Amino acid sequence: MMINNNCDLYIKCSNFLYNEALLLDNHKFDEWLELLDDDLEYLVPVRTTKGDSIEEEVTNENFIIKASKDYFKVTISRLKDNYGWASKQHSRTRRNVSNIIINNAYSSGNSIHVELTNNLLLIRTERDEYHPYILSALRRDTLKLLKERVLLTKRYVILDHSNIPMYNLYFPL
Amino acid sequence: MYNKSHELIKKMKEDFLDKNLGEMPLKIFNDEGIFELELRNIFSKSWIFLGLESEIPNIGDYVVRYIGPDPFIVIRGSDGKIRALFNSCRHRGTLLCITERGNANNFMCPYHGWTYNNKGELIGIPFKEKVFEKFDPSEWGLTQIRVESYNGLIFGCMEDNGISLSEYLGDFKWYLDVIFKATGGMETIGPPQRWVAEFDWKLGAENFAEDRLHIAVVHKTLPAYGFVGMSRFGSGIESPDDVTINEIKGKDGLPVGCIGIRRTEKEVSSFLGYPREEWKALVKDSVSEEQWDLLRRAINAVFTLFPNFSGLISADATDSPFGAKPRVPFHTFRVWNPIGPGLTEMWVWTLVPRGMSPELKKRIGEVTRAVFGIAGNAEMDDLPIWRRVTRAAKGIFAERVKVALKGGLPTIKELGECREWKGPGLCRPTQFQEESQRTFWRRWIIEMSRGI
Repeated sequence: MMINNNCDLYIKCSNFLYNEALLLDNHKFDEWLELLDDDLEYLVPVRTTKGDSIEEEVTNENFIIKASKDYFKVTISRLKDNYGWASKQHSRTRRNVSNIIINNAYSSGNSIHVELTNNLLLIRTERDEYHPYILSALRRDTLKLLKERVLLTKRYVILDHSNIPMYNLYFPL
Repeated sequence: MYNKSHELIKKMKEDFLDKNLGEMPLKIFNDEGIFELELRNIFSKSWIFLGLESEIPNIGDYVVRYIGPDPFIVIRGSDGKIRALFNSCRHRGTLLCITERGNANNFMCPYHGWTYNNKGELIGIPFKEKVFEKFDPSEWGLTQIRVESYNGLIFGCMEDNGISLSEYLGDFKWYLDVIFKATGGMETIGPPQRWVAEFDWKLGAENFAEDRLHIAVVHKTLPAYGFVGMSRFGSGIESPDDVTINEIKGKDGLPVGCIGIRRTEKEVSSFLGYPREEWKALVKDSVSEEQWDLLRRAINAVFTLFPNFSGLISADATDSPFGAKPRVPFHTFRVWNPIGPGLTEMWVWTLVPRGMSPELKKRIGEVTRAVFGIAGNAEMDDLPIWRRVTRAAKGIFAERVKVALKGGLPTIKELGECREWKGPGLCRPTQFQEESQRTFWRRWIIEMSRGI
């Protein structure tokens, strides 16, 4: 399949990522869950500063998050509880998704699988505090394009940080 | 500012140590003078956890670890010995190593090319004959601090003439043996999680030292959403076999730690909730009968070793409350490293018994990161709260605001004592108390008030 000059494919994928970012920024976690494939594989490995390449530094020996859709269902329902303290902070997040590059696309059954990379620049503001937090990452995603909708089937988040400048991560990246 | 901090310490010593009021000024959680005094009086005198021997198994393996802001290359030299080398060239001071881990025969400074081997010896100086003819390189090796290990845990101490690690740990070794020896020894699952958060390191240390009361509030959702078993963790229901062992002392007579232990009913073997088929990895004759009995019945153990090394193992946890995956104990171990006033760098390891199966280790890793670490369902709730304490403590009004840690003071509530307890320390027949946290603070104020 022609991928780099397939405008329709590119727009579908980028729209999906922008819409996903909007839902997460608006704390609409339940609606976000609907974007996830049942077989979602979601990984945020620990990065260790020891080499020149991502492959050397991200070894998959330890993870910050390694989640399935079921895991997110539980954590998201917990966050909505009156005692889900992390989300009571109501951190304002602004996800800037950019540099979307489609690397591969193939048909499988009645769907098209698209492998792409994109940059995530997440700016987090805490209530009335003046000092924002920034988290940046490369995401390697796989999207599943069905006739009516698009699903996230794999996300691999490569943080630029091996020492994360944020006090917690209660929201998906 | 520095004098004001001294005043705070002096007053707290009176209130906390002499009068045993369980009170402290809020300001001690966020103060430049206190931070500097902590580095001088505590972090440059105590034995500080740096990592595990198993993180650097081969000659030349190293990790860079910190005591406060000070960086040390913890490295296994060509003679097999582990050293902690201050990460700075002896010529013009350049930070030598800018990776977090690796393997090296030597380190060459990028500035003027001075080169050190993995024992820290200065072995190369460009233009030696031309410029430094009579200079003796043997006197200019990398600066080292003392390093000693216990049960595979590496500790460093900046104080050259202090007591040994073994003396420092004293009676606490009895409990470390239960966790790190009778289990067959612990190894890490991959590199530690590392992040920075704006809270005071003492809030984490006292929380693990141990704060049973917060579990019913902060972590109310953990049992409610099935991450941990209702019967065993956080339900707020006290079983008669929950104990806290306070005032565990080093050989120097100073309180060095406390540990909370929950046990199942008598004669039931639980071994921290490890599956039965994994029990063969445990090493019965490495410890005394009393220690073995403690491990046999334990379902939860949480400790802080002064100043900033904490650990928690708790049975019956999962990352998939509605799934069929096996429930195992989570295992979190951490260093609360102070890097500024009200600023802490977190180092969080998942340590697992070395002899257990790869499947169980993997499972413990999964479950632990669902509960602890920067995105763990317990830890993500603790951190914003500790951050809020630290924010409230920033100004000068916090100097005159006292905060209370009075649970179980003799004048407030009688705790009783477990007279049949076989281990060292002062054993209380309950975890609903704050004496264990006061053990941490007693040591803190003893050290902080030295010379004041």
